[in-house]
Amino acid sequence: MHTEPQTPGSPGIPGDFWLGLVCALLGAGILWKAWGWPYYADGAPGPGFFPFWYGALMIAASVMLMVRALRHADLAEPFGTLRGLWRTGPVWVFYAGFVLLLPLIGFLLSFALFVFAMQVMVYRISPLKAAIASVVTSGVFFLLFDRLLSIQLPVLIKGVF
Amino acid sequence: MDTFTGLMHGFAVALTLKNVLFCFIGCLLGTVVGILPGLGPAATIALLLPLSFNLDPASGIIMLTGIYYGAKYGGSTTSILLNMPGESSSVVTCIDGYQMAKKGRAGAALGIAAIASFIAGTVGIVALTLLAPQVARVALSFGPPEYCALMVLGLSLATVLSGPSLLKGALALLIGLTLAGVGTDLFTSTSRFTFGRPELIAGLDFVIIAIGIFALAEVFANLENRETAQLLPIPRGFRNLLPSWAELRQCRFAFLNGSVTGFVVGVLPGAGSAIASFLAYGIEKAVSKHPEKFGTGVPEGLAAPEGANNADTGGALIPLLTLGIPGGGTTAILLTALIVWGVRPGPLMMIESPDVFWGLVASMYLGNVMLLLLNLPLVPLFSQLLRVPGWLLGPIIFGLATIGAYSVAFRTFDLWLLLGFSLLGFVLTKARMPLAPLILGFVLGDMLERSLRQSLMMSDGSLWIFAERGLTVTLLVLAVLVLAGSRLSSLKRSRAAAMTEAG
Repeated sequence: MHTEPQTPGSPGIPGDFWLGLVCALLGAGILWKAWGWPYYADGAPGPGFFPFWYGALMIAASVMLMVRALRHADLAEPFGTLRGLWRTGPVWVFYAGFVLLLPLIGFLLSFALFVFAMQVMVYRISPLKAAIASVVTSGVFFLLFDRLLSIQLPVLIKGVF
Repeated sequence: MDTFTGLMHGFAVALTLKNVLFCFIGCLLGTVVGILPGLGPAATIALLLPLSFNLDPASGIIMLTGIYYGAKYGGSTTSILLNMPGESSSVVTCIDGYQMAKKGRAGAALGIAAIASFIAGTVGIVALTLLAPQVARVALSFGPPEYCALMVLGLSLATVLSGPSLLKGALALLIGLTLAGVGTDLFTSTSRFTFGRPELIAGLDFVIIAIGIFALAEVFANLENRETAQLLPIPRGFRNLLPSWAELRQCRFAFLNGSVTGFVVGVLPGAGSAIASFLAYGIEKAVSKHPEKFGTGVPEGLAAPEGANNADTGGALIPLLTLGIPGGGTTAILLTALIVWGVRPGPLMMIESPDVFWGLVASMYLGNVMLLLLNLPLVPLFSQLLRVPGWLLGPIIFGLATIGAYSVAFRTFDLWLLLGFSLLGFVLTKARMPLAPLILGFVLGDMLERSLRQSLMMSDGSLWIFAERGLTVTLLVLAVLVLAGSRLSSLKRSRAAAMTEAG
């Protein structure tokens, strides 16, 4: 994986601090929800018992991570760059589009569109090659799973594709 | 049923035409995914899990486990020919394997890797055959407090051994426990963390989490980092794939070292074959008469880690099959598969499901022979897989992931969850958080909560129940020692680093 090592003494707040902060907020959310469920019910531990403890542990571990990140900022472990999110971002968007279209236009068309977009925009292959590859890939999946293995995929026209 | 009778029964199950075929499919698929960088055995098994639900349990587990150990054989090919490890456990194989290939000994390197994998893999299965019934016998006396303590020890080990940062391992584990908590509380029927969504009342499905976190997150990571490497030529002809007698003699200790180290490390939760291979390489170098030559292409530097990588499988299956407690991501997926098929892994599995238990063990002997036969003569053919372009492979994985997740409950909501978990897996990997504790936390979270609450119900809410039983105390003290030991060594490392910086 591509990482950009932080040089010792580099300015800014270390990535581990932000990671700790997000986890601490998650832990606080768990504690808040657990508060609403009985800790003990009918003389036995209730539904709030276990979440209370792992929520509390999550906050403790997160705070320790944040403190460690700030105290040893110069010795911080290399943190992966988030630039990757931008590089892979379009694929997430295309996939979200595919999931939105799936119930509307069926698997065959929506998956072919997704594969086409991914191959042209991300892998940078020619539109013609991408069109052929996307139709073939989507068709093979549909035939194999929907028709041969009877895993019913969403279709545009019932009984056809 | 004693061990010998059980094993013979297992061979009767494994040697049926259908199961031989499923064993072959598993080994073949495993080899293929082991060779392809960017698609690991955990991801492949997660992808195929929904499609295998209709198989009978013995055939299904024989195939999925074949993928697990087959991928370890295949992983060496990419390491030796491309200097690019297909799996984390093959990283050490690159060191001397690639150097041997660069010196024109690619065939011998591939041959040594296959032979070491076969020997150590078989030793691991023999140890599994002999030890599993003994462990199961001991585990029969376990009650909820013992199970709870055992899971605490297992999760502590997984947290400590899965990465360099104890805190990050612990946080990954706690995220896994949180995900396990989504759904209806089994004791009181209270809905937890469902946010009013009816789709979440039954809880999150493991298949969706496994596919999202392992398979799709891996694809995204590969999209970000599209490296190309030069494939080294493989000599033609079977004879050229065989190492010389001198090379095999050099590897005698390495075969033994890899077998023992791999098996022992495999039993430990969270350690995994990556640690086993690193440890075996370190031992080999430490006892070698010429440690300075390691890294320049010595056969024993290849045989030891490759052997450990494969012997690990036998060890990893002991806690899974006899205690129902998986030690890593892939074994957690195998546990889910067994549960879906109605098989309950644990001390009674040998009695309740002898076909599945002994059939699986026997099939692994068979699978190891198949892999040796597949990998030695066919390696030039398999290496052609490395030429499959990313633009073709990526969509295929997306398609399998989508259909795998969709077929769980036939609803698009699960695809949104899949997208979310792939993002989570990607971000956690970027943040250098280990994924194995998260998966183990999710798989064991429910069992841990149940055994803890059952223990407290037995004692009317008193925690003393854990201090009254010898085995429980021992396991919990071990867990504390594991965590404290890791904390101390991490403090020492920080201090040493700080002193180096200051100096």
